[in-house]
Amino acid sequence: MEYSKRISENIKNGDTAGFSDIVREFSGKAFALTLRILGNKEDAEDSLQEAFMRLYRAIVSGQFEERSKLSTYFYTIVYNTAVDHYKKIKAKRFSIISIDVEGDNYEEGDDLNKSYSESHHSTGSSYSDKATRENEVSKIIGSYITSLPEQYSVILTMFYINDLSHEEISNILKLPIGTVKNRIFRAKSKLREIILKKYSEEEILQYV
Amino acid sequence: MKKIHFNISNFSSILGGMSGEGKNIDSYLNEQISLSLNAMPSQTFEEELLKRISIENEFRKQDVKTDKLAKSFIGTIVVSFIVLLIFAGFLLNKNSGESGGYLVNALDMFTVAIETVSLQLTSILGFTLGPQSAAIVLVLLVSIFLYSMADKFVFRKSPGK
Repeated sequence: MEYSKRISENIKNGDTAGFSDIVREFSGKAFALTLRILGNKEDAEDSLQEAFMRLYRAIVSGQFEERSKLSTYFYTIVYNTAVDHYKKIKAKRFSIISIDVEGDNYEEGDDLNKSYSESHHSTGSSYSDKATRENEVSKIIGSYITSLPEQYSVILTMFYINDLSHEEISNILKLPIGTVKNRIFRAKSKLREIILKKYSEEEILQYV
Repeated sequence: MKKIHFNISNFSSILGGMSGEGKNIDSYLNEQISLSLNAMPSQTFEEELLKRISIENEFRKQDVKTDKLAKSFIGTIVVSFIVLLIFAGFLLNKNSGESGGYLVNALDMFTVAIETVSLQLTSILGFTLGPQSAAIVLVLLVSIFLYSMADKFVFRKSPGK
């Protein structure tokens, strides 16, 4: 809190160098989130620039209350800006809406089964060494993450990259905290299941 | 019945190993998920953003200057007007005993000029510039001024929107 207070005071007094510290600290992590929502590097950068501009204006105008946590405040702006950006550039309905829309027959985890096709990654090749095998595991995890629907990948990014707590994620996405926990748990369980189908625990433990 | 005896000397290695394995796979998956989700913007991103910020900052400084200038300009006009009124009142009181004084003559001329303009307006536009219409114009001006000042406070944006 002290850090937020000091830095926002400096920025209010016209110190742009103070803001460049914020940019350096958050740009990578926030970019991962916008990229996950927009799926395109160029759009993600545009949206993130806009989010930083909004944060700057909020600090300068005194809209940002120093007692609130800067990171949570900023990631809320990043998320809202990316969603606005998506709505602007795409005519189709934003699939993030499905974050809190569930059909009658919908069960948590259904879409995880649909989205990832294991057949793409069953190469059947024999692995000569540990490094090749580890690389293969990383590839499987990478393609699993890429294939995840937004309602999972956005939450995972917020949790693993943006270091937000379950409560903070639930506040930003306006979802019940149980749903947030459940989605993280299910996404991870599914990943574990995929990996353990191909490799034994002992093999995985060699990479740890 | 034959009894089988187990002799376990190190419980912690067994139990610790069991829970440790699950934990290790967990930490491995966490690490891999983080790696897969990670992404970095282009190298010019920060530079471009800071350029935008410094331009915005310059505009903000200019706005503050213009605002101060406008405020001091309006303030000067209002203060001069008040000073002029007080001064005129003071002179009128001083000259009230004297007939045909310079100031009284000037005021008479001003009144005649207003009346002439008023008569001309009546003949051309069909309305008189009397104290009532002047008051309406004044109220309109005050309303416009208040609106232009008030919209800064009324139309505040909510965070992140």
